[in-house]
Amino acid sequence: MNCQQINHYLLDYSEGNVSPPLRDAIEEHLSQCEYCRNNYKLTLIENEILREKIDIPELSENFTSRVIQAIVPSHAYSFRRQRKKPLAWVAACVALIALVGIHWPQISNAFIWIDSKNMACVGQETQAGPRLNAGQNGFNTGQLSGAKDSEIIVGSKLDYGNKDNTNKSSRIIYNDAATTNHIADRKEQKEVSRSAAKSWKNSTEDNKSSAAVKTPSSSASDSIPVPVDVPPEYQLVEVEKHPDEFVYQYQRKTDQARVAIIVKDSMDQMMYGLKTEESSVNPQQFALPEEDKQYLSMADTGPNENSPDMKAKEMAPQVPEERSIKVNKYKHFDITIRGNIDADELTRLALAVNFQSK
Amino acid sequence: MISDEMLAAQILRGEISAFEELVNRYKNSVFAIVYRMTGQYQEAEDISQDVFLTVYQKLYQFDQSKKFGPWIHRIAINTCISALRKKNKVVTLNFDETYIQQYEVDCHYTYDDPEKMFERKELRANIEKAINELPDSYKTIILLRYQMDYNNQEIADILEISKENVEVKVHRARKALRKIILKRWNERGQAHELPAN
Repeated sequence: MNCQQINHYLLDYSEGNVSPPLRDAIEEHLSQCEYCRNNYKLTLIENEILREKIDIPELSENFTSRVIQAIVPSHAYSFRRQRKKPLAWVAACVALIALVGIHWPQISNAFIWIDSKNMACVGQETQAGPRLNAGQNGFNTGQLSGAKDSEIIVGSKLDYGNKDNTNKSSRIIYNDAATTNHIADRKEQKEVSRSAAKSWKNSTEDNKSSAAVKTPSSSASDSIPVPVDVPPEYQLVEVEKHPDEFVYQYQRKTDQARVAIIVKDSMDQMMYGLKTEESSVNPQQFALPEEDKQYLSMADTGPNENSPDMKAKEMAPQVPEERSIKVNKYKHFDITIRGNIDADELTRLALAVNFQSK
Repeated sequence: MISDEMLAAQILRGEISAFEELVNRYKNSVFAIVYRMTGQYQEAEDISQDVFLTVYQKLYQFDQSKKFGPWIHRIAINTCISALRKKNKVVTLNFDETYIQQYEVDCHYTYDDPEKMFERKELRANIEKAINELPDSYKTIILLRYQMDYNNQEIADILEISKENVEVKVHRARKALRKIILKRWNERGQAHELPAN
């Protein structure tokens, strides 16, 4: 090997990165060539000096604090991170659109509801079906569930004026002849529309009955439940619109008896669970899948109440109970049927009536 | 001691104290790189600060399955090169053959015993000056290889080139450095013709 060839391998040799035969050849050459030996010495010195770091001056003591001060104004790292990622914005927009799409029916319902204050109700098909449980002991209580996905409370003899009464979870409005005089003072009575109250003013002396019905508007496209399947002997005579309720006034053709079906928006009872007066209901109980509608019985429910096909006739004459179905967690309505007809007739009427949502 | 990668994760969760710790760990090495590249203290300090700001902003891009050191040093190098370009300094990282040729060691030079010719201190000063005369591409390689003690594979990761390419570049950088040193020696009349063999 000549000097130029040795010179080519000196760096690797100085770092021990040559094969043994090459190393032997280089060492043999270095022992004979002063030029290459000096070259090799210089390579070693360069290696040492290049690895020395003593020439790097010290950073100023406040360097770290200066960096942190420059960072802190924009400390919200997560925000900066999101801002730097346009894909995150795209994903967020897509998620928002999807969310609006999913909940559009409820959103549109809200607008329709507002709009409906100034326009007549027009029915829209829904799987409404009455659910009624009539009370006993002379009370004519009923509950009507409009849509298939609705929340039902079958009432009992609880007087709202006396929350210490027997059934803790009841919230059903009722009255009969014995309690007629107290209705005006009761909490639920305040929810009755002015016109409905007026219509009853002349017909509450005897045998006045009412059925309280609570039903959520359910399907994605519904808004205001409109009564349908009302027995033909009842004739719709008037529809009253109020800011938070619709009152459908019916008149029985045979004796001119009046029945009012009051549909009241229950925005305050939205979301999960029942609005019970004295019992708390676990919201999770109502988080059932839509397709698995079933009745959730409360503490004192009867054996028939677990039936998924809770026909009103099965429960009508039984002891007041409370049942619930959670279907629509977004919006529901309270529907009250009242009339100066006897309890059995009111029950029959409540069982017959379905609701279409508009 | 908590690892750099864990600190990075904490920073991403908004813990500014973790970033402070990270700055303390790397400020000297970052500053060493930048100072070597710029040769000016104040400029190096300003650029070093920019490096850490960039690190903070781009931390979400850091792959926590890899080492943090090479990642931050790559940012240091890139930030430094960008800063020098803004100042219209000639910065190039290409390793073209044409560029190499002017730094090839001329075989007409020869050597006396360097330890007899120079004091150690003087020799170090000469080499440091020679480093500063190197193109930034070579300077970067020299820095990473000898100042930061990275091996060839780590340098390859930092510069995003192959390991073999790193080996070639290290050789060329050393040759370029040697040529500058010999040129200085020759100017002082201390270099001699290479023997005829």
